[in-house]
Amino acid sequence: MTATETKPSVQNTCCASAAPEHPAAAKKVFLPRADIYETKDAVELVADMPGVNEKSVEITLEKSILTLRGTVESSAPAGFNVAYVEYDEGNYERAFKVSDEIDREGIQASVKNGVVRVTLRKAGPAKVSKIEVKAS
Amino acid sequence: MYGTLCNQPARDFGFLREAMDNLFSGASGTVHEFPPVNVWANDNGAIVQAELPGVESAHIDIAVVNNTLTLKGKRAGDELKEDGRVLRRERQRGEFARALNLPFKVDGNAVSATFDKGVLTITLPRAESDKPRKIAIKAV
Repeated sequence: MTATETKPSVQNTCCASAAPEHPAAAKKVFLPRADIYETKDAVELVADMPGVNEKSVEITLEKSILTLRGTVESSAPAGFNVAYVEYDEGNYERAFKVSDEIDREGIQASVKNGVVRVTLRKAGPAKVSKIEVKAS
Repeated sequence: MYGTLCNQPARDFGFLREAMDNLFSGASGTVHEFPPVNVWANDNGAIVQAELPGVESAHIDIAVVNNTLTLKGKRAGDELKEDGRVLRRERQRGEFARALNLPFKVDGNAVSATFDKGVLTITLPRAESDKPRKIAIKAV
């Protein structure tokens, strides 16, 4: 779970060429800010993805990598010009490594007000299988 | 400042850089305010958008006086369960307040706002009295 790019709230002045005039002109991919809480029997992941709803978020689990992806449609109003920009619109993507103690079938997710919540239940203690060693 | 936008190799240090930038924001003039806003304008008014993920619309207070828009509210954090512990906490929480000065007088009665998918959109029509008036030149 390493952090890469956060959503900067203020445009960079040092690289004006990289900053589009129109906030929705280029589709950037942002790393959503996230909180992770752990209890005795579950891990809860909360990620800020403003502009995303249940139809535009995709959560996948491949091997032990849980990936959140959100697609944001441009909200630029027609007939208006950009006057002041503090944030860029773009898509979201972030991957988390899930430990073995998580029950892979019991992952639940919901979206409300642009916040994605994923609940990962912990599985019971893994059974230790003993392998008998035969004398040859 | 915010090298994360253009410097690919520095990406892994995004959060650290942001923290450092915040630390020195007073000196550089870069202000890191919540919520971030975008402003759109034309001759008839402006549209202000703000990213407020996780805020309930009932907790957002919008006020307009003359040409100043004030945005106040509270972003409640998650209550930690009894046996819970925090593994990572990056999302900001708490109260916020912002004031924006618009370049025109706003028709306070005609202001409308919507809150969808964590994004607040405020439509601010320009007051009729503030709009430029065309003056006809009379022939003498």
